Amino acid sequence: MNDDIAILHQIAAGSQQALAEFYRRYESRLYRFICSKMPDQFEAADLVNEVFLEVWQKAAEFQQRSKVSTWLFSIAYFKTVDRLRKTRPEALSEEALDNLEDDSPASLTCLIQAEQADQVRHCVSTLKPDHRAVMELTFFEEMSYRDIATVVNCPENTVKTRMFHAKQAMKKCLQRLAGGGLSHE
Amino acid sequence: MNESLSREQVEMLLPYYVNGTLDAAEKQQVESVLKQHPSLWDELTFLRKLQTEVQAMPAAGNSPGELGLRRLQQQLPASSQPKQISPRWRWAAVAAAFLLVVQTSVMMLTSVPGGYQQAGEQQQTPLLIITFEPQATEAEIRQLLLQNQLTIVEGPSVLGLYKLSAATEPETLLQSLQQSDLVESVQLNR
Repeated sequence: MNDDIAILHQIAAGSQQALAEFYRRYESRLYRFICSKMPDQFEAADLVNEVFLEVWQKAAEFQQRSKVSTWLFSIAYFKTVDRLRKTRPEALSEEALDNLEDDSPASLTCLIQAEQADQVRHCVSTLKPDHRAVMELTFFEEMSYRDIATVVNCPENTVKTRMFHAKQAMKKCLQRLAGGGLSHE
Repeated sequence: MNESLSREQVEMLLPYYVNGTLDAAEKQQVESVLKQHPSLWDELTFLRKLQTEVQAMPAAGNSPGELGLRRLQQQLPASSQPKQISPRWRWAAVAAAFLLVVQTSVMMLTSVPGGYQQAGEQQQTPLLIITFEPQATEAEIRQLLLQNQLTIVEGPSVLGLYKLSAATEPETLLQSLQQSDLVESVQLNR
């Protein structure tokens, strides 16, 4: 963490080498996160570039109120939402709270088996962008819900709710793929 | 945080119990409620497996990587002077406009068989992702594209990337494009 701050100081002082190091450290993670909201990989690559340009320009403004990674992912989130607002406003429609059924807890352990990895991937791809982004930050970036709230600029409870809905949607999708035995009929 | 949490509140916290980011008090409360509600263990197991799968998932496509870094570094001096547009970028904008015209012309002049082409079919043909050397002129780029029967499908992006479709096998074009002095980088998109 402190290492990140030191690199950011160097970037603020104009070190392109430090920016390259910072880029190599975060680029693929950032791209992955942006892709969780932005379906077009071409645009996602553009956004990665924009994020690092902003880091270059605003490194001196980082105030250490949050972790560097939280600050960085916030920039990525805002840029992605901004781009989506301009190009795909329908993707940003407020989350409709589905009537999510509670699942039979006994069946849950059966839902994810090693051989179902492809099904998990498919189901992740069907999540709403907001839900998927929170799940990525929770499980891939292993961020706390407080940090995620900072990144996506929403209340902590909203983060928990989105994650809850992401989990429920995953269960429903996996149950559907698993066949009649696990579905609620 | 001494108030006891309900089952529902704990269920909301479980993903963060799984990823190890709860503070000590929250963690203790979650563990206490888990003891009272064995059904939550199934949720926990599900979330742990889900985390394993999410972490094992590859990213969608290739990230910009070193190519993206090179383009970023080329933009840095310009980005430090936000009010000024360097002549190079002005020229790049003019070149991009020209390329758009060329693209439109090529698409109009190329004999297209009648009827419709399915979008699904087009996607099966791999595209080339290319960046040109900054000093490459529009005329040179145009000639290169025409010589190789290449069409701009998308771009330029902020990174200066163009997606090109090829009339012939793109795999065979790859090598010759890599050797061109006008081309900074080229790769097949899947």
